[in-house]
Amino acid sequence: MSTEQPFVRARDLVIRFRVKTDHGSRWITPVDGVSFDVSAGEVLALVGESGSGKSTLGRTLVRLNEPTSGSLQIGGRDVTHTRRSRDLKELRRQVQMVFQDPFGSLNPVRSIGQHLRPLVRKHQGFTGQALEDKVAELLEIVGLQPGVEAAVKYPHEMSGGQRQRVAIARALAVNPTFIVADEPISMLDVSIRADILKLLNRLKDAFHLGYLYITHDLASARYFGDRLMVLYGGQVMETGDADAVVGAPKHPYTQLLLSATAGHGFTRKGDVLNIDAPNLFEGRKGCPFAHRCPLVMDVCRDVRPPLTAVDKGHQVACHAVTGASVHTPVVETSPS
Amino acid sequence: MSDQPQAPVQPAASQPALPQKIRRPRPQWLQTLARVFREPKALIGFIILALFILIAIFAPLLATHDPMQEGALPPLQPPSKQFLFGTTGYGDDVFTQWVYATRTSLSIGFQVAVIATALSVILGVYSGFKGGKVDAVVNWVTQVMLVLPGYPLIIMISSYIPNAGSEAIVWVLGLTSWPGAARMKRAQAMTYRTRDFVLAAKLGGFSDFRNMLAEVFPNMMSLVFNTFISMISWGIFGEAFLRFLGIGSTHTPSWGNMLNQAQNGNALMQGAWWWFIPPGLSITLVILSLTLINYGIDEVSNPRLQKPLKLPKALRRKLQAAAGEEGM
Repeated sequence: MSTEQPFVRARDLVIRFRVKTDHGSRWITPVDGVSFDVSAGEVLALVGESGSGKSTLGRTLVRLNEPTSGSLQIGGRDVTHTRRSRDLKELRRQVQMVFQDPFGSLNPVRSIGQHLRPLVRKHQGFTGQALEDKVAELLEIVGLQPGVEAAVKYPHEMSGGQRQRVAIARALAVNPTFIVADEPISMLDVSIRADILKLLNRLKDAFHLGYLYITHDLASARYFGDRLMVLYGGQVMETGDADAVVGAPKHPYTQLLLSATAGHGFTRKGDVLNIDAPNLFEGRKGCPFAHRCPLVMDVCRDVRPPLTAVDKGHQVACHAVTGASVHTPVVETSPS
Repeated sequence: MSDQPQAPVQPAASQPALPQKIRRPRPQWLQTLARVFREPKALIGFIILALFILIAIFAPLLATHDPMQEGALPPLQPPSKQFLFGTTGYGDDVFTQWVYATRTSLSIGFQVAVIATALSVILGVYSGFKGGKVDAVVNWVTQVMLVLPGYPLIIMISSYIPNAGSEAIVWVLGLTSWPGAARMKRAQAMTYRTRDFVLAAKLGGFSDFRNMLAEVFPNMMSLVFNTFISMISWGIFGEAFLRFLGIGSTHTPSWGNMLNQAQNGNALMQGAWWWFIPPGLSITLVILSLTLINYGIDEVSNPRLQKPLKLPKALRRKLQAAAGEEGM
């Protein structure tokens, strides 16, 4: 897998939004200098809390947002600033998205068949009875048996899990190479989350799909993700193989996240200083996590920590861990 | 003990054995329409409106006299067998005039509604969905139109059209009444623009135009229908209002023209109530029926307006007593 060109190749992506404050408008940077590669057939799990920029990043891959700077290559083509609708359509043939809210992502006045039929006709060229068969087949692939019956239903006649399966079928209808799954299970009942993840996993093998799996749940990220990227305040805090990051987290923020994950048994020492949201305004300095970090040093507030390799394929952006400074950490951490 | 639960279980167990066939549910808009018709207010409205529509359609069959025969009858005859609604001071049969006026007024109302609704939907949905510069321009025009005082504008435009017939009135009313409705649709379309299902359709490679038509518009049907109904009543009222002021051709029989003639002919002073009651009451009834239909649609489409379930009186008493004990 390492020999082939990664399907998605993002370098130093920066996304800015203008926000109105009391003192005129300012720019915020929900995604600030993020780089990653994802190959086809690989899952990159993007983990972070609300406002960490993970959804913004996901929407950028399907170009619902345009990056301000950096470069984004998908399928070997640079799509960073693609604006022509034909090129965007070409991109979206390859990259599809599954949304978080299964109740908002289906049109209430259209039946399931009406959702899928135009897509299959447009992108796979089926018509007539073959079209009906293909739609039913798609629905059966995502576990809605019998597909013929599911196709005549309306979204309000289905449960959240069934709707999410329809949303996945809709993404598949385009025959994509890559799927951005934006918290696909967070609004579902706990009892069916695993089923949806298993379905996504099965589709990955069956269609050689790549995923950007966005979540705030480290447990599911470890289960589904091959690699894991922890985002905070729009910057990458830690990235590496899922097992390595979850098994031996280096960054204090990853440790904090892990200790908040139920049933993991990981506890961390040191008090959390506060729980304020990170400063996203442009021109901020230092590490976005500094105000919450138990290991905070003077250098953290001024210099942005670079992403440094601590292990093979495991990178951390933290002064305290990579020892960029002469200062010693305030508190010792020891993951159990 | 063991026999008792078995008895009710048996019919339940036989149920899954029934052949399960795939049912195709009625589309949602049909279900909604059925619910609107079940709403008593809306039903009354539909009945009244249907009555007037029937009169308008069968006007030539219902008319007892020749509508073109002006001034040939004895003036100011009270209602009788020969003249069902009496005659006017100018010697016309009121019933014949009223029947043809129903036709004119309703058709003007419908035409105004079609023009105004179409304009408001096209401009509102397009600008709300597209946003950006298109929205800025359309919204600016809408706001200018909203700020211009409605009645004086209509009177002014109409008075520039010499001897304005029905068509001129239709266009004047239709082209001046869309802004409020367009604004409403723009607001709705703006909320749909960022909904996930619209984004998903966009990701599916469909054009904005298709998404507006196939994804957004069907969701706004109740609002569109609402606008259409309000615009009919506005068209009927506006026509009557313009005609009553004597704007446009006075030769077309319409409710407004009848009122205008009754006013000019001093119907009230001469006690000729049969002259002005039919057109006046018709305007009131039609607008009332349209308002009732609108209420009905509103009650069906807005779940918050639905009445709570009516419980049996004994149960209500019990609940009230329980609430009282809890000190609520």
